[in-house]
Amino acid sequence: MDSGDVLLDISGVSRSFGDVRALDDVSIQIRENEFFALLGPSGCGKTTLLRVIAGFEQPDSGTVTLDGVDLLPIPPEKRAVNLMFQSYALFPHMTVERNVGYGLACERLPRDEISSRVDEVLTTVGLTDKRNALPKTLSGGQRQRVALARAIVKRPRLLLLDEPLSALDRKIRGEMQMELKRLQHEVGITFVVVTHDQDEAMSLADRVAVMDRGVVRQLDTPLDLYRRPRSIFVADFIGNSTILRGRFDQGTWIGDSAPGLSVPDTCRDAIALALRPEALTIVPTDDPRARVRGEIVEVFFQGDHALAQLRADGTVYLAVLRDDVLPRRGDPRGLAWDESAPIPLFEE
Amino acid sequence: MTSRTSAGVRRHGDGPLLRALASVPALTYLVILMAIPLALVIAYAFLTAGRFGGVQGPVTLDNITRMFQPLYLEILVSSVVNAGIATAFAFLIGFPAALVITRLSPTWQTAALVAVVLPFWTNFLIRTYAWIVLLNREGFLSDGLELVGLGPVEFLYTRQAIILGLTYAYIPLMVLPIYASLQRLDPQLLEAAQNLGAGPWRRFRTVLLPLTLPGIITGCLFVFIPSLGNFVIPELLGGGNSQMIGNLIRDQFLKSRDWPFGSALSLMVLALLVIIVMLQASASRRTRKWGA
Amino acid sequence: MMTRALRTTPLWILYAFLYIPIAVVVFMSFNASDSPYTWTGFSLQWYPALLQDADIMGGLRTTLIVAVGTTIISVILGTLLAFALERYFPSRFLDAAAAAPAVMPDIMLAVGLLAFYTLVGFTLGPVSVILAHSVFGIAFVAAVVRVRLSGLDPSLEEASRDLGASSLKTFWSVTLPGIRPAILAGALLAFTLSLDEFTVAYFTASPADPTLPIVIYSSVRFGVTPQVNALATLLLLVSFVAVLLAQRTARLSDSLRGRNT
Ligand SMILES: Nc1ncnc2c1ncn2[C@@H]1O[C@H](COP(=O)(O)OP(=O)(O)OP(=O)(O)O)[C@@H](O)[C@H]1O
Ligand SMILES: [Mg+2]
Repeated sequence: MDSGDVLLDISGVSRSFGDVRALDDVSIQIRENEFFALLGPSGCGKTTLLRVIAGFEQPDSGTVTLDGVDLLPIPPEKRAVNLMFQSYALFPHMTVERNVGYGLACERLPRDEISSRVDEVLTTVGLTDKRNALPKTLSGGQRQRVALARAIVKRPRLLLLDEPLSALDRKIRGEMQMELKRLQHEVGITFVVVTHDQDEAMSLADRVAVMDRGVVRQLDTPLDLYRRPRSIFVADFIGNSTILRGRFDQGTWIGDSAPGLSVPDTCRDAIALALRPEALTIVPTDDPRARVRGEIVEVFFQGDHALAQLRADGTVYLAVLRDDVLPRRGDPRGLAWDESAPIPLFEE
Repeated sequence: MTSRTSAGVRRHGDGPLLRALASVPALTYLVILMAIPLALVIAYAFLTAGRFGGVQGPVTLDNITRMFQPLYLEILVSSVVNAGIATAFAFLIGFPAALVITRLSPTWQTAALVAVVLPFWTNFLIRTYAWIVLLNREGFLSDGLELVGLGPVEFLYTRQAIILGLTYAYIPLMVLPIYASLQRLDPQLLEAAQNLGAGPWRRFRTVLLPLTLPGIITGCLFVFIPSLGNFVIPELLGGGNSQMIGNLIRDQFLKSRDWPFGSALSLMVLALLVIIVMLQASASRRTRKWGA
Repeated sequence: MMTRALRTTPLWILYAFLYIPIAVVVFMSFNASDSPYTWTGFSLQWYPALLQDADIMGGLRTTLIVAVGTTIISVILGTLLAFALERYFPSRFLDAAAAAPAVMPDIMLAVGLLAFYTLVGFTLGPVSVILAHSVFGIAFVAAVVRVRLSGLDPSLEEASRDLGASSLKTFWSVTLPGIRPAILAGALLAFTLSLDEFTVAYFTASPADPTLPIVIYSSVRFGVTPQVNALATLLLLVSFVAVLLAQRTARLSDSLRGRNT
């Protein structure tokens, strides 16, 4: 990676709470103007990492630099990093205008500059008519925008967002995702978003770090994460897939299921194979292309497409259905896939 | 059968007999032993002192105007000032301590609070007396200063000693409500302020203070009200030369037997309190609007 | 470690402020000399001397009589008042009136009651103090019981009525057991408040029959004596033990409540 445009460099950061290793030797480099996502199951250490960057937690070991400057000795209020809290943390006794202007007032800017910058950012988030409202009178979506406006008005080098959309319902969430993306282009700030919603991470981010129990398991673009997961954990966590455990033996895959599959040499060191549903085709049992044969267990209708579960040799496969006629439970079927479809996985 | 039906009819509430039985005695008691005595004080304030104690006609405003004579006005003002300073000290010591308590682990919080309240449950006179032992010219503080060559000093029988005693007597009542309101405050609000660039003093001024104001005001009332009417501490720690309004009232009732003037002074205390409580009510209305 | 100690400094300042004077009194109560200020050696002589002091023993007797009487009246009327305020006649005005004795400066109540007793010709003595102390005793008991009463599940009482119990029977067998912890707490509160109360007692007691706080007041006015140090230490001990016991009882009743409901 070209290190010239690295904005935030997290290197070897660990943090334990008693027996819990919330962060275990985490190293991440985030580039200027990047939209970066931290993705992982609950309790994997995402919030802890954000709090280390914002300065509310001190790591036990490791370094964090912003623009090459060591961040750790700098107190939270002096860091050019703003955090949008998961619960928004709006000041209940201040109007929208004063909430948004709070950070500017802390910089002792002149009053008219504060008010013009607040105006500007309120226009950006579309809340100019709520200027004098108290937070309690706002809807969830509006509160979220105030929190966002309050965090970006200071034009930080880095904006941290802790599950910014988790409190919103599905429809508003979609709108806000697009708005976040638009804003990021508009204001030109580097975004780090924490989420445990993989769709959100995949659709928003330039790059995603997948975390598990304090460890970064893989750091890649969304496309690469999907196409080339390195571990069973990532393949399982991102998208749907069928995992075939086993080992490589002279061009064939030896495992409990699908005995004698022929696989390419790239699978030589793999401990498992992942099959994405869209790489699988359901065919009649007598089709010569069928690599395994079994019966349909369940069919899920998903709107624009349908998924089918097929059990063969004790393994349940998940495949996208392309036919207009859906098979029924119990129907015998075969599964076909390209030689290159199995994704080799090298770690648990 | 019939008794069953009537029980069914009454199910929505207790019978009128029970309601009366429950309400009449207690309310009558409070009317006779609180409302009437208070009404007497108010009425006496506008009557004339009898020659041998007691009250008599005619109705007059003399007692009210007499309070504004310089001699009495000075005592009134200094009472308010003493109680105010004691309240301020109690706040300055109590608020940081309450803040520390909220940062302890839950079990330690309970223990720390019990330790704060414990002295309050011991006799008020004994606690005041303890300061006589400490502050006396022959007492510990003076001895200590003498050792380093600064004494002996008479701390007792000064205005400072009165303020010290008032602060000491009521400071637990300051800590408790402040602790309760700090406890309710979302700690993320302080982190948010810090993240936006607010240093410790600004966080205190713009977030901590306004959001815990109801608790602070309650605590201040709890210290100010009993301080204002107190006559024991001024007498024991202030000696004869510094009086507060409580001493004045006590003297009118028990020594010079000028009940109307004593009543007028009591009325003044009441008026001051009503004003303060009204201020408190308006402050708490404002915080309710935030919906915090 | 160092910074942690530093962060708790304000609390230690408060504790030092609260406890140093008390500690000095306790320390001096074991002084052999009869000068209250200079330490000459350890002695327990002032404790037995207390028992010989007629004023103190008389005051103690009066105080206990007054506290018991106050507790009885306060518990009965305060509990009834709690019902009236919470269930029968809910009104903001009555709420304020019932809370008034608890927040009013005690000197107001004291002079008002003195004026009232004098007007109706009521003889001052233990009874007049009991009646006076009960005014705020009722307010405190009512406040404590109300909280508990409002948290009581109304369906329990409705179930009792539904099963055919009269309202009085329901009160005895369902409501009263439900609010018993609060009544107990209120009783404890009324008892300790009466035990310690000075101002109202000072105005409404007869000079011939003073309560213990009044006895202490009179002796403290004339200066510090080693005997008062000993008395103070004993009273401190009693209240510390009482508070700690109440604390443990409260936790016990909390856990019992948790198990029952
Ligand atoms: N202050 C703390 N004290 C003790 N343990 C903590 C503390 N903060 C975090 N932890 C623990 O560290 C681990 C990581 O917590 P963290 O809040 O970073 O998870 P997360 O990934 O943000 O989870 P979620 O998606 O649920 O928000 C958890 O096991 C948590 O219990
Ligand atoms: Mg989190």
